[in-house]
Amino acid sequence: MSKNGVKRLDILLFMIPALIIYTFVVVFPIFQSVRYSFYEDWEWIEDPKAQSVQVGVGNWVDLFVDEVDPNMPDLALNDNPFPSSIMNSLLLVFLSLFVQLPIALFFALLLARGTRGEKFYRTIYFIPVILSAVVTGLIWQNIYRTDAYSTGAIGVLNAICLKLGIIDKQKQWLVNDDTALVCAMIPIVWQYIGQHMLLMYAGAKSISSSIYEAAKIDGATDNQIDFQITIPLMKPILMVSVIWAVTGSLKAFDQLYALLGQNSINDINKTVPSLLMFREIRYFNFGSSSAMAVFIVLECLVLTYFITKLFRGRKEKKAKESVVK
Amino acid sequence: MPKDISSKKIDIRIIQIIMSICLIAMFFIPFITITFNGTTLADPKNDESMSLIKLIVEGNSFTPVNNLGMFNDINFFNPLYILLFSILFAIVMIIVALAKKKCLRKWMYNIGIMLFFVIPIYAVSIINSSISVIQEVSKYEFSTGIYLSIILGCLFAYFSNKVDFYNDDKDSYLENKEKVRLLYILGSIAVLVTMFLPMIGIDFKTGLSSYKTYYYSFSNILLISEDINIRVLFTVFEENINLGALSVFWLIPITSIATIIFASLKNDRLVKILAFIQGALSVISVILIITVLKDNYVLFEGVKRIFTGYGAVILIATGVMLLIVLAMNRFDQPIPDIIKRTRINHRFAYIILGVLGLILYILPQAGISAKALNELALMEVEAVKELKILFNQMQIADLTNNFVTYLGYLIPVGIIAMFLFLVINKHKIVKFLALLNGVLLFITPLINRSVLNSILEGIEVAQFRITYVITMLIGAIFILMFYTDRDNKEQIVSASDKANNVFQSALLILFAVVQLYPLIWLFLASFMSEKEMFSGKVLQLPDVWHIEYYSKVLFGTRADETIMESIQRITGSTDSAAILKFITGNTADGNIVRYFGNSLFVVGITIVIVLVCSAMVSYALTRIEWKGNKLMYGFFTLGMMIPVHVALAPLYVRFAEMGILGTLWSLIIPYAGFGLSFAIIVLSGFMESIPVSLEEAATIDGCGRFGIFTKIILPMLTPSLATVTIFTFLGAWNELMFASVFINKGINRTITVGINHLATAQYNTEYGLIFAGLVVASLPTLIFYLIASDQVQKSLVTGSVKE
Repeated sequence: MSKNGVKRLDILLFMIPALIIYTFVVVFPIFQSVRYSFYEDWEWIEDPKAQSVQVGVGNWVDLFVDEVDPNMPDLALNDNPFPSSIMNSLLLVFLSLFVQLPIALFFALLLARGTRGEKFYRTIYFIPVILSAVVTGLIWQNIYRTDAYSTGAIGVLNAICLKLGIIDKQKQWLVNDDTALVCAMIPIVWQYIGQHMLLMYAGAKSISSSIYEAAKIDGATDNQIDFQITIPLMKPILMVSVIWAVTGSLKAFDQLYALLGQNSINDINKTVPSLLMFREIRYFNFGSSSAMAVFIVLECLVLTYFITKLFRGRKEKKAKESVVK
Repeated sequence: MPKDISSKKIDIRIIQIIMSICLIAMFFIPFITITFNGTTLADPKNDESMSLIKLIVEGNSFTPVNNLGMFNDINFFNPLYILLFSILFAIVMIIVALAKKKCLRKWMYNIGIMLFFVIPIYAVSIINSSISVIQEVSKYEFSTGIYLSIILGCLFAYFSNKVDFYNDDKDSYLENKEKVRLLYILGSIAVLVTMFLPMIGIDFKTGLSSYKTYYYSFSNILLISEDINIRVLFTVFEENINLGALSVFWLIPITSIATIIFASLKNDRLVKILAFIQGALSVISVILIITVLKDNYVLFEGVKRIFTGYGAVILIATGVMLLIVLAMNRFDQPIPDIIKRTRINHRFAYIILGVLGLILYILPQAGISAKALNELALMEVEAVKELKILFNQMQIADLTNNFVTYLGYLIPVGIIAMFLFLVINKHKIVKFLALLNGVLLFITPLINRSVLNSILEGIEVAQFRITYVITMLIGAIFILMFYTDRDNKEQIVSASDKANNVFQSALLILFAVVQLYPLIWLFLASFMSEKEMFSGKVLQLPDVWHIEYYSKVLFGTRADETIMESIQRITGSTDSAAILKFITGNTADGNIVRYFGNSLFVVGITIVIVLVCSAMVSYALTRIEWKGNKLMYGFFTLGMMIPVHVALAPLYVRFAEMGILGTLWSLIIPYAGFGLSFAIIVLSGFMESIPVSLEEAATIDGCGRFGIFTKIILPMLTPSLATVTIFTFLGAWNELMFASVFINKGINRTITVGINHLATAQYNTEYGLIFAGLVVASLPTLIFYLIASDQVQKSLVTGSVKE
């Protein structure tokens, strides 16, 4: 055997286990999902091999059109929840970007300045991130708890709000129209602040300290340093954070699943993934859930592309401007 | 960037002007409305609620119905006059601020100071006038107060002339520092005394006089009908005694404010002694309060317990700490450098303690008032009709006003402190104090509002709303001022840094609480009975530590498997989803150990697969030259972008076909697959940095490719492997989606699904069990994290950035 042949064999041997798993788990399902999304839902529990009729774009149309579906008696009562779930997902994206990230950035900068107990706070803030979504979801579920059956049990949030006089009777935070959506999303926002904080902190720390020293000699205040030096230099990290926040929000499912319970038929606070899971678990409705999954993939890819473009574009412009100067 | 300091100063002055106007307005509007409410409440015929404009229009002809002669005699207490006074004061402040000539400014300032001392007394008298019972008593009280305050105001003005302290020139300020200090001390004592002595007096007198009134009335009633509720008599009696006892509370804000002021002045022997006295006072006052409460507070059982339980302990601790801190500041030494260095810390100790005292003072006060009102409402229901007619009007009016008065006092407390701080605004520390007060002011209306909301209805709430807004606005302005006013920065840079640090630390701690609170709650709740955990307490230790949940969770019966087996035996089917669904509804008993084992198994195997496969691929991609390795790298990294949802349905079908659906392998495979991308990125990034020469040397020694890989590359990879392990571990251990869809059999659940199932199983509402399960499920990650937090954080950062 030639040397080249040995090399090729080696490469093959090294690559093959990963390639098999990867293709099987990641690559193949993408195509499969796309295919499923064009098939009608089938009762495949009874016969896994039964393939149903190809319906073309039927599933996709159904996602956006209100229709009474005999297979989904629960959903038939409501409007089609999919468009509103997209809006919910987008709201979550919005909250991540404009609530979660600013808070994270604030604390990251504060810690990166070299506050006393830096490491301690960093460690504490990060704790929620490592917990399972089930844990945080269930904790929050009980924080939101309402005494629906007047057994005298009252959740912490209700108790506090009652004491402060913000509400006059117990509120069903996760059911009421006005609070359900935001309350369902608060745990998600809360849990991952630490992650973004840490990321931005690492970004801020990686900036050379000589820059800061120079700025301090020039008489810059802490705030000036933050806004005019640290944040601009952190742009690559911020981009990662933004992408992470956006795609993470679009994929958010675990906390909602734990928080709302798997049997929740209330659609007002469902995001796209939780709607998908709901259909999948409850109805084994693979056609439309596959369509949704593909939708999520597209959503994520498109948004990531635009975010990268936005950040990169600005950077290039700035670079050009500085060159002109 | 140099800033024009003089122009900036004018800006600040304008802010001060606006603020002072707001302050005045805010200060007096509620009292005016109280006066009205007092009258309208006392006179049921007078249903017409009067507006402020109406009041101004008809100011002179306005005579309250309920008074016992005071209003008729002295027209000075007409709200219109108060309003005029406030406007005058505001004008003075404006002139002071705008005056260019030093001399004029000085004089105007003096007048302002004098008015400043006079006006609070008016305010108090207005409050007083609405409390009908004590009017005769308080008249004397107030005339004394007014004289005293005017005298002190004059003294203050005199000294300020001597010192020439409202001077922009910093040097002269520093020259006269000693005199200024004395002046401040005098001034602050004057304010405190004039402000609070009358109030203490009122409270005591209220107690006594109303006791007398009620006693006589009651004895008359008792003569008429003997079966009248004697309990009512006693409660009224006790209540009035308690009203007297409340006066002791005033010692707390006095001491708190004084402490803050003195602390900001520090370093003077006199100051230290005064502060020492204040510290002692605050300790004594608490002891007083407790003894009084203990003897008399039958009515306010709940409040008493809360207050004596936590508040008193903290307050005593505050006082004791003050004493210790002050004692450590030795009196006989003329501020050597060592003390200079440490004094800032001391000062902050004072300040924080002082503020703590203030807050502590506010809360029980409001609570007690609220309780009192509630009790009264209950009493009213119980009382017989005659009693009602006799006392209802008077008492309701009294207590409402009393209560509102308490809230009203909070405002002067804040304002006095703020004014003092403004007067001494040469100092950065002082500004910081002003900030603290701003925050306090900002918070107070919130507390007020909540209490009012829960107690009062209608008029009061509506009327106070404006005040709240203004109060909060002023608080906000103060906070803003703190950040905009950056004069003489260089003078005390370190102090401002310290101030900033305290502020930052407060924020950091607050956020840490936000992040940790749910966890702490979970931990404590896992030991509580269900009744306790949902009792509405924000944080409490369990009365009895229920550890049986843990034993149940860990060593619970395995109903799960037996049911599974029997149903499988009956149906003969092993994998039918419908049956499994039925079964899963019945497997909620604690089987956590099993789930835990499942999770460990899944995660362990996943990590091994990911590590081995990714290391091999990375090696092939980076260490062996071949066409298309760039392409393959891109192919693998693409996996980071793909949401896992897309694999759900296809894998479900595939696994069902393969017959491994429901087994742990149906989890391991997707976890490994989705974990690969990240691992490959991290490992190949690291591998590229390993020098090729090592490999070459090994090749010469006769090592094969696998030999090189296992003997040379792998050992060097250890840190990156740790990163990958952590990342994979966290991902797989916490994963919920695949685990909840693919696993239908009870016994094969992973810990996350198991716990979730425990919680959602409809018949099972044993929360202790669920929480214990949650704790058990989180412990491994938590412990792991706390041991290797740096490594975990690092790997998570690597993971994110790589993506």
